[in-house]
Amino acid sequence: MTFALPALDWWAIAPMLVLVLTGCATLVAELVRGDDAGRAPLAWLTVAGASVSGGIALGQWDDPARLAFSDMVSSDRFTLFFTVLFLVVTCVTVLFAFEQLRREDFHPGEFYPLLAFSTIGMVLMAAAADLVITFIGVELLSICLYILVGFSRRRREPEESAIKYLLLGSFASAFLLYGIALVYGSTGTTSLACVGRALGAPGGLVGACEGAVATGSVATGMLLAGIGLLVVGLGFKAALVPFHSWAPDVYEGAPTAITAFMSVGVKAAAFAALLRVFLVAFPTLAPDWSVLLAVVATVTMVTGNTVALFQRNIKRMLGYSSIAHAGYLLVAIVAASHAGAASLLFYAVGYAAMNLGAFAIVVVLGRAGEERVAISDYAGLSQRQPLLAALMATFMFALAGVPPTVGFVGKFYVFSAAVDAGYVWLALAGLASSVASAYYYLRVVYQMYMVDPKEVVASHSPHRWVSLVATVAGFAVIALGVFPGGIIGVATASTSFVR
Amino acid sequence: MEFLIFSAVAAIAIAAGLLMVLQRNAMYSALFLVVVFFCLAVIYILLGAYFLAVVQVAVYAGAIMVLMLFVIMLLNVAWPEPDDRVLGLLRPLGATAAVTFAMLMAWALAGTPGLPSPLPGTSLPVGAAMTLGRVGEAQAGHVQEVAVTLFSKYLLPFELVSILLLAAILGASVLARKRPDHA
Repeated sequence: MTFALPALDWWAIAPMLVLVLTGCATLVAELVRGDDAGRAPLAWLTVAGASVSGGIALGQWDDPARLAFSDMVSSDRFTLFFTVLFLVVTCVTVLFAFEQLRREDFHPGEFYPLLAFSTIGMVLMAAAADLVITFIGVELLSICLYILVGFSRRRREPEESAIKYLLLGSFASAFLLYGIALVYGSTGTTSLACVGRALGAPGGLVGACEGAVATGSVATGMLLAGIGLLVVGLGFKAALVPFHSWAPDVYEGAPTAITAFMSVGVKAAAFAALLRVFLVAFPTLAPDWSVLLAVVATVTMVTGNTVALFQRNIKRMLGYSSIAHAGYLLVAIVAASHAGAASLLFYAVGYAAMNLGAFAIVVVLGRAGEERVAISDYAGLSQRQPLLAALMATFMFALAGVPPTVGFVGKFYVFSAAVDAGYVWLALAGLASSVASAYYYLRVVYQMYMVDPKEVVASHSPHRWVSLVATVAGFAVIALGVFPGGIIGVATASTSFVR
Repeated sequence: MEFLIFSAVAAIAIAAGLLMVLQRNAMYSALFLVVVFFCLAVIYILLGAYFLAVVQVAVYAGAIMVLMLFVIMLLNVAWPEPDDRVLGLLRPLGATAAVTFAMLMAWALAGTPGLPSPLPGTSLPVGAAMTLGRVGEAQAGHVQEVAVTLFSKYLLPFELVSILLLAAILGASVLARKRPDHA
């Protein structure tokens, strides 16, 4: 038997390679520098690595779209778009964590490498051209997260969250793997493009499909069962109802930096994978799965927004709110169109800006050992910290979808894509539930501006980097709401593989 | 003959799998899991994947199970009886879900032309037949076949798994470091 090494297109995976090096470098740097010396350098090393990686990704923007490493990953604008988004989320998480690590006496030596590796997992989920890579991406991300969620020495709840997430997450991985096996069994291939071709999808970037069945001779029953299981496996990561039960507990118990990372980065990664899988491999079956996903999206939006009404802890409230937003994002996939895919990318960016901003405020207001996460802790914030209160109000209005913020424009694009695809009832359900959601977002604003502070809290100087994140996010929320054209153009160019 | 062996082994595997889940004693569960692993190894042999069968026995039935048994013995856990009030509600729900899922799967497989038979030579879905055929062609060197595939087509996933393992080791060291702080 002859053996030939496949073509090694290192440049196509260069952003990931830089992240691998970054993770390993932080790991070794901590050993060299000793236990406590390397705290700030490790954070900056991670940010620097992520910046280099992001710079390479931006530099690859005009490269031709192609498959690399035996058709395992696709290097196209979709991958690059999400790579840059994930790297921004990672950098923001590092800044959040830097603040929290100092307060809570974490051990940074493992934290930053795990964060870098989980970012690789997310990039893989977006770049996957083969279900094998999707699975490895999900697993790499999950294993890092199981540890990161429980990453606190002082408190007990993180461990409970971590074990819940681990048990349910392993279950979800099994479902995902079973789904992949059934798709392989019915089509004879795990390559997304080859599955698509076997199902009669119009071409695109297709590699060598050896072993795949001929177009039109797919075992449909088994394939549909496989698709259902894929929805379960990826839906768990995206926290779609009814696979969401872990989310509020984990979001509440995890360190705030990781909560922010999960509610923005991990969710975006899960949707990138869902979009890739469903619109590259199964576009011709859209009439079958879009009804299923439409029902899931409706239930997710309604459940997330309804239960959020009753939360008193702001991290839990943001947890349920992120479930509701997962529902909005799913609406974009239900549309199964180019416009829908582009609206998903736009919404992911807007959601990242408003949610990271909100979490930045939560981090700034926290203190050592005590996170100050009750919504009543925000009473009278406008008198003590007018700038923070104004920013928080902006993020709450944006999350509620009030114009002229990015939240409004994002919802507009998503729901109009759904209407164009014939899902008027879905758009109406989304609109109704987002109107209801205004109540719990605006309650925070009400507390900040209308209620007098209950106690005089010693005002401590907010961390400058996290405040900077909040300010930048605030500007982005408004700027993208007023001038959405630029990002929408980029998002449209990034999803040209969707027909 | 092959079909007989397959049916017998598959039946034992399913029975052992059920027993594993239903046992209250973790030790018995682990032992039933060993039975499942051995049955799977036999099925791999039937499919012509000798290398996988050997790995299955050596790594899973051997190393990993011994480790699990050690952990169970060392911890010597006294499992609390599950709260029947909670389970009382969950049990019928879980049973309904399981039956529905089984029916759905049966429907999915029944609606599939040319299924089900996982054995070479009998009726097969087209995709599976081709896969089996490919394994069959290389009867001479399975280890070589696995190695070449691993280092050519699946080179990238293979390397990525090494990052995954590194992350897992890191995680283990984080968990190990935590323990003294809580004591």
